[in-house]
Order: sequence, then structure tokens, then C-alpha cells
Amino acid sequence: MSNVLEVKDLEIQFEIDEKYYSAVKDVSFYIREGETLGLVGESGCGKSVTSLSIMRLLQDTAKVSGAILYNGENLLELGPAKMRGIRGNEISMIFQEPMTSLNPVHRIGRQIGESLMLHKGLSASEARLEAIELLRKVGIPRPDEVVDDYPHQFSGGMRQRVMIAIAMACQPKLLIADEPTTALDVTIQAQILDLMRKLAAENNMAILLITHDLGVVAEMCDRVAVMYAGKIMEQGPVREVFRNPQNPYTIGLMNSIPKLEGPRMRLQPIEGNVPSVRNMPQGCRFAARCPYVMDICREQDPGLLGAGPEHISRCWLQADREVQTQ
Amino acid sequence: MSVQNASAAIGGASKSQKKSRGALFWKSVRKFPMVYVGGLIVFLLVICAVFAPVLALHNPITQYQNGLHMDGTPVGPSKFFPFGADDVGRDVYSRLIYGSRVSLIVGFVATAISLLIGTTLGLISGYFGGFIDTVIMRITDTILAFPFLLFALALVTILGSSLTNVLIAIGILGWGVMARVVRGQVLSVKEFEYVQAARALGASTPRILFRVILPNILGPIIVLATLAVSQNILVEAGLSFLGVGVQPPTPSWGNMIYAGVQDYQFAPWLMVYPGVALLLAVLGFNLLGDGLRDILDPRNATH
Repeated sequence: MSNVLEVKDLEIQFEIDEKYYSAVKDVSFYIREGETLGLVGESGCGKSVTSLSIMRLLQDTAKVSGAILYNGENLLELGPAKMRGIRGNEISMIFQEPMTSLNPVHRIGRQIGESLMLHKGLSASEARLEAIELLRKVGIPRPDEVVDDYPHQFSGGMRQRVMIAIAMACQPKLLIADEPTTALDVTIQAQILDLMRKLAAENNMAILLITHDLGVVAEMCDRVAVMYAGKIMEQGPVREVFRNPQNPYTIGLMNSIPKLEGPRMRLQPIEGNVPSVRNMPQGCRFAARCPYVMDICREQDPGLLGAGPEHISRCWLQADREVQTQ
Repeated sequence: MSVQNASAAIGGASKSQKKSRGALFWKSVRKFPMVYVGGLIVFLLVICAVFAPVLALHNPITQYQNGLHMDGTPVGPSKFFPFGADDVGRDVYSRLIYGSRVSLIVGFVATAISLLIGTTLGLISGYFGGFIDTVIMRITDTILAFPFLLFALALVTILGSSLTNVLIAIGILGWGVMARVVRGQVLSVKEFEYVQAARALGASTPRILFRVILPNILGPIIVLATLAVSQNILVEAGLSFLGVGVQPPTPSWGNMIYAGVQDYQFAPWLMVYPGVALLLAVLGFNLLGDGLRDILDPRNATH
């Protein structure tokens, strides 16, 4: 299977007080056709910025370097018109807030049909018929009636379904879902995840799922990349990473969520805070909070080291037990 | 009675499920009855202007001999001249009816011109920000710093007095406030996720400006435009009063008032009727604009 998306050495810098600071650095990952990759990390670690940079939706003041290859083509080098042809057509995006992601003044049928008219050259009436079909696919009852409704007439879960319908309209090869279920309650979350999984399977669509919820990752993803302070700390197949986490940060994350099985234990939060972009430590970015910290950690970044098949971890502890990843 | 209530409730429930924005709008109109008054005045005004030839009793520029007394003073209100005659024997009522055309044309066309300029500049300024924003906003500040009426007066004097030039002068001077308001609205609306979402769907910048952002800020723009209409009607009256606006014998409320000023002691109807017409027109548009503002204010929203 070939890679739909390949991100290589991505670095994103923002200007603060006339100096550039890296919010994201050395980020590399790939997504195969039809595969779901989870991008996990706490707030502010650079997940959303990474996803926006793939769509080239960051403001002009952000400096993006490295390469983002979509089917072998570097998106960072595309002109604005070509990039528009990819957005919504080849790569789609779902946002976190279904309440504000829909335009309140347009009927939802029109919003769903918009990208079809834009990219596929459908007429308004064809787009409307297609919109009804899409509403049916995402499980909205009475699609031929609600197609003429406005967003305020929908609940949060229904709006997220509409968002998915919009994203799926042109049958994209890659869907970027930025915390798609964070704003929804738990029962709806499961439905939305199910729906996304079903549609992805039907269309052989790859998903880049951005979340801070490890439960969602376990349920949805084939592989997972754990980000911390703008760098990928650990990456590998979901089963492998969850059963056998290598990086102290990943272990910390897992310990900070409650478990239903086993003896009742106190949750172990990760002490301390994420370092500020303006004041990144020279060595490992997690060093200040890491329970296993060594002298070398504060001086030098270990780089990503092999931990198993397709499994890599950014940690000096890995240096002694490094294995071939292929 | 109870049966009626029940059926009304059922009707209401089935309708509320399919309530459009338009229905919501009309529901909240009921809470602000002054809108009706404003709307009615504006409606009557439009009727006057459109059906002027039907409503007028006489030709507005014909000078009737029986409009003047033997000593040359105008005759007062009578059966033949409901609102009296003016200093050269023309029918004040008919001139008033035809004068509504000038007021409405200036009100609508000049507002449309400034709306076009102001909205476009405001959209660009608010959306792009940075240097472009600074430049456009400083130009706007400059425009707003000029005394409107004086500048319009100077401009019409240079261009020559005609209805077209009055329209141009008012139109290209009146966009300052609109640009500012639109910019402010854009600044808040552009942060909404649906703007980002539209971009993620592959929409181009003009498309985002005019099809995503503009429809969302239409409310305040409509309110502003309505209020601008009344202001522009007043400015036109002012220009005509000062003699640089619409030229006699074409009737305009402004030049009618001017003509009446000299004779106000013995022929007050010359000034009073166009004055009242002007007052009502401005009141009508203001009530409509204020009412629309209240209705469109989210704090008064009806759901």
C-alpha cells in the first residue's frame, strides 16, 4: 500500500516580538491509503498547527519548512489555485466545534453541495440531490426535508454529521479530523466515530485523527503518533504502543487516565507544565518533567530510536535497547 | 375558544419545527411595533414617488394664474390647491408629491453608492488586516474628518448643480461610517470556525468575503443603510435649500422650503408642507432603521 500523506521534517515557526520560535519541529509521519493515524498530545503541543499546515491554512506569518507530500506532490510548493483544488476535494477537514463550523446563514443543503459545485462542477440542483444522498449516508433522518433547514435547527451531534457529510462530499482520499468528538457527549461520540470508520472503509479513505483522548485512539486508529511540545515522542502501531509504551511521556499519559480493571489506584498526573515555545530546553523537551531523567537528557535530544516493528521512541533510555524497526 | 386555542397550538407547533429565519424575523417584528409605523411611512413615500403622476392634481411646474392673488401673493389652501399655491402660482401639493421622487432617488441611490464603497473597503480592511487595514482606515478617518454638508456643497459647486452630481457627492462622501462598521463586523466574524471551514473546502478569498462573511454581517449593514437613507434625504434637502442641489423648476422639498422662507409671514404653507413631508420621511426611515436594529440585535432574539 502506498502512502497517501508523508510529512517529512516539518518545522513550523511563529514570529513573537520579531523573533521566530518553533512551535513544531522534526515532525515526520506517514499515512497509508485507507489507514487511520492518531495524533495525540496535550493542549498546545502542536497537533492542530500540524494539521492546519497540511491544509496550508496557517496565517502567512507562520514559517513552514520541510515537506508535506500528498501522493508524492509537495503541498508546500503548490500555488494558491492548485492548493484550493486540493482542499475539500482531495483532503477534507472536520473541526472540533460543530456549533460554529457551519455557516448560520446558509441552508445545510447548500453548504454540503458547495464543494461539489466548486470542485466537481455540479449544478445547484444536482448538488442538492447529492446533498440529500450524503445526508442519508451520514444517518440523518428525513434527509429530503432537512436539506433545506438551517444549522440552528440541528443538535450538536447532528451538526457534526452534517460536517462529515460536507467533508465526504467529494470523496477525499484523506480526512483530517481535528478533535471531532471533543465537543460532543459520550454516546454521540461513539456514533460519530462509528460513522467515520464506516465511511472511511467504504471509500478507502485515510484519516488523520487529532485528539487528546487515548480512548478514541484505541478505538479508531491503526497507528498512533504521540506529540509533546512540538515534537513526536513516540510513534507506532496502536496495539504495540498501548501494550508496550516505550517513552516515559506516553507512559505518563496512560497513567493519567483512570482504568476500569484491576485494583483501584490513585491517578498519576505528569508533574509540571509544557515548556514555553520561547524557552525550549536544549535537550529532550520532556526532560524537566520526566521521572527517569538523566544528565544527557538535559543536554542533547536523543532523536527517534527504534523500539519495535514500525515503532519508534524519542528517548535516551531507548539508546541501549534500540532495535531495527523494519 | 378552547378549541381555537388548541388548534392554534397545534398549528404553531407544526410550524415551529419548520421555522425559517424569515419566520423568526417576522415573529420578533411583533415585539417592536414602531417598525410598522416606520415601514408604513416609507411604504407611503414609495407609493407617492412611483405613482406621482396619478396622485398629483396638477402639473408641478405649471404656473397657474388663479394661484396668485391680484397683488401677486400666492393663494392659500383651497379646493383647487389643497396645500395652497407657491409664489409663482404652482400647486404646492403636486410639487410635494413629485418632490418625493427626488428625495427617494437621492436617499436610495446615494446610499447605494456609499454602501458599495464602504462595504467593499470595510470587507477588505477587516479581512486582510495589517498594512492594507491601516491605509484604508486612515483614508476613512480623513473622510470622516470633513464636515459632510460643507464638503458636499463644495463638491457640487465644482461639479455643477444637478441631481446626478448631488448623488455622486453624497455617495462618495458618505461611506466612512459604513466602512468602519463593516470592518468591525468582519473582524469578529472572520474568527468563526466556519470561515476556516470554508477555506478548508477550497473556497477562494473573494468567495469567502462575499459568500461567507458578507451574508453574516448583512443585519448591521441593512440597519446602517436605512439610517443613511434618512440622513442623505436631509443632506439633499440641505443642498437644495442652499441652492446647489436640484434646480428649479424641478420640485425638491429642499428648494421648496427655500422658496417658502421669503414668504413665510403671509404664506406659511409654502414652508410648512414640505417641512412636514421631510420630517415624516426622515422619521419613517429612522423608525424603520432603529426597529430593524432592535430586531436584529441578538439579545432580543426570539427562538
